[in-house]
Amino acid sequence: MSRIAGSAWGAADAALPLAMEARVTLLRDCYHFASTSPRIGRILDPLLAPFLCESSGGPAAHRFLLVEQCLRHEQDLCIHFDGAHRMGFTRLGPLISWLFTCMNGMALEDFDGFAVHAGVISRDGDVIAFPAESGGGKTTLVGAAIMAGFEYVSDEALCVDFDSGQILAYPRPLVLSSWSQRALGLNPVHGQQLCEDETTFTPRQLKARIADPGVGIAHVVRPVVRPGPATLVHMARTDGLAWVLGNSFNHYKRPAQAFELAAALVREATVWRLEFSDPLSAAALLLDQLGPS
Amino acid sequence: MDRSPLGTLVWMGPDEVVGPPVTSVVETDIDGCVVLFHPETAEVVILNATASDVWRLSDGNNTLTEMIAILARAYHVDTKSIKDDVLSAVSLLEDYGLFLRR
Repeated sequence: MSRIAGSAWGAADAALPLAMEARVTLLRDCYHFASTSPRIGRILDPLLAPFLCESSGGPAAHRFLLVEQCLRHEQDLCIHFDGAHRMGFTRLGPLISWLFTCMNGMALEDFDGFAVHAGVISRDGDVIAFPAESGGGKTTLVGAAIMAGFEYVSDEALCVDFDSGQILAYPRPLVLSSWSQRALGLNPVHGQQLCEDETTFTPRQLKARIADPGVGIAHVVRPVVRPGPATLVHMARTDGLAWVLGNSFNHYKRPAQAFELAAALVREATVWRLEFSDPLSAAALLLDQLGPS
Repeated sequence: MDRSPLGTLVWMGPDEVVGPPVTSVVETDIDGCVVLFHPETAEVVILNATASDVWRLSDGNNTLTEMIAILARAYHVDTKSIKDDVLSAVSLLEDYGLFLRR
């Protein structure tokens, strides 16, 4: 068991022993996590596993310290961020939820490539992206797709390097509502319940393999949730370009490059509109129509 | 209000040249359609087939009348049937600030 280095974690907590430590890479930036609590460690370890660094070199961009029974701040649970107390919680679920929301925001904000709000899966090297706004059914569809045999890239973002065109995996744990869990036939006891209506599942818990996506997208799919059987129809690539750019997080940072990269991605892809109500049927249709022949 | 003999464009006569484009506009082609990015407004403009051809002819050398004649020949239609589409396209390109102001 190591102890917290005062300069890194905040002098006030320097005497606290650490129950877990992890260095992870989120979209190329290194984050350092630690907790004084074995209970928090047991929950965080599998959630962070897809992001673990191969090497421990290089400074951490950000540091999170999670403390249980924080005497100094008189809180049951609290988060210290970059050496300063940030938030207090009474329950573990909201703490984990806040932590991953915060990490996600920072990772995407700091990412210096092109990022599009999208679910991303892969099969034998063919990458399929589902750009969509929040609430558009991305995570549930990605969950269904990886349960159907696709590899996992992300339920949140298509991230592409501007220079190389390399797509980066961003394999967050999937946070599924109770409706989504029922639709996918998942039991919340197999994941980590965050609150009454939300449970997080690691890619491993869904038996997903994390893809190494490579360069280029084979298919851009616009998901549309509506009653009726699943259908997949072609869309014009120009509409696909508008859809990709319209769902980008950060096109405004380097707009001309984002435009050219999005156009290059869409030009090489087939663009589809997927209408569905049942995510499992939609995933089966994707596997049948877009899976490798 | 002046009214062009060619249609509703109030800012351009039939013998005025169309264009040239703003030099910083980024242009790409997807499935034969021109897609434009204007860096000053950060707007993306996706053109249909006719508007794409209008854009390609808007190099500052062709007048509106010449452009309509060129496209009518290319599409094998008479100038009357294509005039409104060309005017609409030129108007759209102008509205998005894609032409250099003279």
